[in-house]
Amino acid sequence: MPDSDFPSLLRVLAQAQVQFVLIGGYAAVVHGSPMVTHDLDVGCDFGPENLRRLAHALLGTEPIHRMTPKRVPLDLENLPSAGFKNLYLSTKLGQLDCLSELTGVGPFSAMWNESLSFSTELGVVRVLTLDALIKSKQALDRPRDREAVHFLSAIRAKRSRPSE
Amino acid sequence: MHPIPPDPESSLRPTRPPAGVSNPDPAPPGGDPTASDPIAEAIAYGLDLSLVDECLRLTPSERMRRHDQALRLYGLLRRAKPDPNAGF
Repeated sequence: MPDSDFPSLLRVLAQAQVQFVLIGGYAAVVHGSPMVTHDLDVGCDFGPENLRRLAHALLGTEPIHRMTPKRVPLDLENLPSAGFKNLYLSTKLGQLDCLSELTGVGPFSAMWNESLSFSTELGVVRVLTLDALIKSKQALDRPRDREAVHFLSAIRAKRSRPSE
Repeated sequence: MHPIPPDPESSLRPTRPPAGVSNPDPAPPGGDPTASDPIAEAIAYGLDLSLVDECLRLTPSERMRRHDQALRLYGLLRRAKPDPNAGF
């Protein structure tokens, strides 16, 4: 597994104007979670134009299908017409998961509606809201998600309480 | 990219509840871990919420930077090999 460089991965997506929403563990980090994540999860519009942008963004990152036993390289040229619903990739900038639908939230349009713009050093990034993140983690309900739900729920409670 | 609200952080902070309202977040149905007191529940689950307090003092960019430093350290440690001369 290569060293992850999530800022660079986010930068290439943003520079190629890929329409995406940051979801999963890295979105939790933006909200204040101290948990460390090893992949970058984004919700993506899987329409042909956005997939063309995604293919352009991933040029030079050596993307391969991480879940295939033979680790097949991603065919960037035919990506817009390949009919993927999700992409689980390993790139030289780290692991990137692009999802067209998020458990507990819904399709990309729902992710977009339940996201906020964050101004970061990398530019403006759409990030899933804390409430939607909690919903998705509750729906996924793996051991790591349960821990994340506790952290995120505590963050929400701390934000809603007057300073002590 | 997309329009930026003047202060993205501010939109995440709900306004304070009116005086006399002791529980601004009504318990969600279903008996989930967030139902009663999420902070007490998280502590009972074994989480160190001082880490959250530290993260909440940072800006989103600083949180990302801090995370990436931790991830880099993880990568370094993962590749580390035992040193026969280390003496332990």
